[in-house]
Amino acid sequence: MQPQPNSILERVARGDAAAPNECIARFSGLVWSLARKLCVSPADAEDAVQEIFIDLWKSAARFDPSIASETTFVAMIARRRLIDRGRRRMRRPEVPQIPETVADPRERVDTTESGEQQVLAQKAFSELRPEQQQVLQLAIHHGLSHEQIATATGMPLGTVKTHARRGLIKIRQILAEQGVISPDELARNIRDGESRSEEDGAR
Amino acid sequence: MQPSPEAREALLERAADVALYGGGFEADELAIAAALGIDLDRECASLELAAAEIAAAEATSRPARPPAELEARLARVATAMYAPSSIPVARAQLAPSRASWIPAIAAGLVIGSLGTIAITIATARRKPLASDPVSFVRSHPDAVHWRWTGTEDAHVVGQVSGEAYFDPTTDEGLLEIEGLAANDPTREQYQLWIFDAMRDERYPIDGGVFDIGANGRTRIPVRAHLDVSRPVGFAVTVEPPGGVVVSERRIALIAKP
Repeated sequence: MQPQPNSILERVARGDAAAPNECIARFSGLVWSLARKLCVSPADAEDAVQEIFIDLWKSAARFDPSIASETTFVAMIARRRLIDRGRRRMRRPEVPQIPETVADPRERVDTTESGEQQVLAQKAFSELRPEQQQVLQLAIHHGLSHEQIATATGMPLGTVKTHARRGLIKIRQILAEQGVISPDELARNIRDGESRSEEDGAR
Repeated sequence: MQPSPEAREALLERAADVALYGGGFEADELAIAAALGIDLDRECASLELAAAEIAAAEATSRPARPPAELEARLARVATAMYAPSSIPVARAQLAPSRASWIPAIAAGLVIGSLGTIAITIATARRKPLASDPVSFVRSHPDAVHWRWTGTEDAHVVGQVSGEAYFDPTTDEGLLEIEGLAANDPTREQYQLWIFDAMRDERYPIDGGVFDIGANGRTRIPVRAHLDVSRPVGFAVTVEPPGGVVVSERRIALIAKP
């Protein structure tokens, strides 16, 4: 990963008063899109977005451009917060019907206007087996649990879990080969941090 | 020690599960993984990164602009966290007595699923509002004004005093508050809610957020951006920075007839 000098998050971490508003301008669309998919209502999504930005600014010093891009870091913080909210409320959003794009996972959105990183990630995703795409789409984009995915797709629960894991591993491998993310740097970073145990409340 | 294929698979499956759905590992899982030479944290974090990358790619391929009101609220939070407060604060009393809880529901001040309706703590783009009660009442003869009563919330730290003033003909008001604890705006803020007889009591009007400085009595001008036909009460809640759309009803102050 190439360092991004003077990235927004680095400036937020340094206390640059203008940086948080730049952060809002650049990432609010991304965070809002993620929140709308995983929250139970627009009002819930609005509160979630607010929580995410506060978390993001407080976590800005942890951003390491050698591990992943700012966009990925923001998405990771957002997902964590959204997942935590869902767990707290013990009501993952129910998606009774499968969206058309999931019914045919090979049908991809037009990426002609997308950034390079987005194209690479989508290309990596398209290299997965269709059933892996289907499971990960339902899990990541729609917040369905393994059990809900099994019900929605008719796959055995164990198969769903296997597709999820192998699909994620494949994505990680492809993205690492392309230099989009750096798991090795991440490993070094983790060794300096906390363990992700339930007792730590590390998430 | 060589892990059995089954044990290894189970642990790696757990890592993927945590990466996708959150939560954490049990201590014994971490211990077993360590004994087997598996770095569960690394495995999970790198999978989480992959999931975030896919989520971001999908979200940015279908860009959605957040509501303007939300962006404005985020900007307020940013200001609260990164700029010095501009709200005037004076001396506060820190006597330990606390007013008893007033049943908000019985008083008709139910803060449930709050609909956000834009009114804000005045930002003085228009004619400056009166910032002292005497001037306010003089210039707003139709204003209602009710005394604040504290609840048992821990943020009520002093003898509560002050009043909420509001003129429904101009939708302008003034809050005079004493007896609340100073807040750290990076952690929490006070939020004003206005109850209007013409609206569903479950959806009071969001009056914006404000801060109480150390040892402070605060006076806060308020200007509504929406019509408040007939105010029937005010409430102050303790919320995350920037306020919320849906309050969890942590009411600190109430003012009503």
